Amino acid sequence: MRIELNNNCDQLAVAMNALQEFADSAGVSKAVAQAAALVLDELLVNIISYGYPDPGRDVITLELDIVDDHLQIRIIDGGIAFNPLDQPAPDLDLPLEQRQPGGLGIHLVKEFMDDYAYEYRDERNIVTLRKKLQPGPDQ
Amino acid sequence: MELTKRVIDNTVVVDIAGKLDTQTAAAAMDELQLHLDAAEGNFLVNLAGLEFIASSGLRVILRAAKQMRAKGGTMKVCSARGVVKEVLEISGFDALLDLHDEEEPALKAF
Repeated sequence: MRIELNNNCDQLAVAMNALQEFADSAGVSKAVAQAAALVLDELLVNIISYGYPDPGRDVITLELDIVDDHLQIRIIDGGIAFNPLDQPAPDLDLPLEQRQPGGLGIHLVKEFMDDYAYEYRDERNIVTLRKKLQPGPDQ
Repeated sequence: MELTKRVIDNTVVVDIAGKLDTQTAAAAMDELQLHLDAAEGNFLVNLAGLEFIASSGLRVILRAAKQMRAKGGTMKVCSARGVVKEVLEISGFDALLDLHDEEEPALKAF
């Protein structure tokens, strides 16, 4: 499945609906679909909020596929060149008063996905993430 | 996202159900704020009905905990399930907040 979004905040709902539709039609388990929803929430919000100086001007492409027993999510955007995956891990040992949960999103994305990669090509940010289908019995 | 308030003895219990993500976090914070402002001492957030949480939702819970602490109250969180529990643990919230698996022990722990 491939959908095109613009960089407005209301597009998150469009992306989530597309994910749900894809997960249902491809028989993706609830756990995997939820992990994917988390990824979309964290990464798309980042792109829409910070990737573009002007809102609503560019197209963000979201691709959902089943590849080698994995759900593959690919997000392609033409915003500022930025590798969202290359951020320092948050300090999880800080006390409550000092915690800034803003940095947690990427940490969650990495923890919930099995593979992730970033490349910048033809002036586009391309983030590809994979989550293995049919998790083990302990999950 | 649905937020409801109960009072058990001297504890305000707020149930958050549905999804707590970027699309719902602002509304959740607004509603939660009303209960936080009214709460005097013990505040329990029950997540039994919560199906999904993203970092924007974590921020809501963190802000609530900070506010309660700042005014000398105590906030606990209970009954997180499935992916919500997983997200809380991966985020280190189990070390940060007083998390309980069930509501009753959480109430007794105040």
